[in-house]
Amino acid sequence: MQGPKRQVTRQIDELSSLPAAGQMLTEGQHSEDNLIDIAGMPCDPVLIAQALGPDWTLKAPGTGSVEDNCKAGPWIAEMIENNPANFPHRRHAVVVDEIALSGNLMVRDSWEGTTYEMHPAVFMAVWSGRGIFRNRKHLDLESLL
Amino acid sequence: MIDDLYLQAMRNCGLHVCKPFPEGHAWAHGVRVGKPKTLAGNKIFNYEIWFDGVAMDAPSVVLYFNGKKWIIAAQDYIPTPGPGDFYAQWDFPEEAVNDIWDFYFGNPARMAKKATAYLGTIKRVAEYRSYL
Repeated sequence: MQGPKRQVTRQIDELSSLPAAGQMLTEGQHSEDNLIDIAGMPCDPVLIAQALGPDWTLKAPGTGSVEDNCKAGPWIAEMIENNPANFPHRRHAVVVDEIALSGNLMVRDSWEGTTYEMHPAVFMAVWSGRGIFRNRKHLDLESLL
Repeated sequence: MIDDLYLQAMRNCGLHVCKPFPEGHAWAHGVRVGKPKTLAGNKIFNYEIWFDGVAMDAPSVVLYFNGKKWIIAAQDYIPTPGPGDFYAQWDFPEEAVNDIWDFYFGNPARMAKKATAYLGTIKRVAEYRSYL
């Protein structure tokens, strides 16, 4: 299902992809500036999840599929540089919006402020396994309204 | 590939071991490991991350083989390592598994560094939330 066109933020600092993703995820309810002020740079996603509020949780849904991950709506994915070098791989945060009609994931990336599609297998090869997801309890309440 | 013997050893301690990362991943065949809240050991007060529906009360680590060494990646911060983050490398998988055991159940020094970083920032997060 193709959702509404969403705003893409271009990150203001080399280290601020996670706060920028927080701004995109909440459609500007929490600004990148504010999230940088409280969580710093680089920042810990568990802190960003708490800053976004009780509707959001840091998860590592190891057994779930990409489709399962998208069921609760847009979420933040931690990506990892895929290189063989023997040093810490640099991380990056993007917003995954949904599965497009093509079967690819729709991604909002603050690095250059772009939106693109990503094949699920390519995504799984660079996803760290961690993400900030909307809580199921919140979704259950929404479905009652 | 991590021998199932070592994965089972971590599970026997009560640790949660996620399914291995796929071929082609930077951590190919590696696993993410966490300590459930219900398990005694080193933890961070009010810390929460969920693995497969199970709440963890401490940061996770990733164990993988880079072709030369067994690596423990304990990096929580994005995009670069932050306070309390660490990487350890070992020649043998049993050494790496022992080190993971030490992180969660042994010497609390490394967990304390992560706790100091977390608790120092969570105050600002709470203040921010209270203004909304």
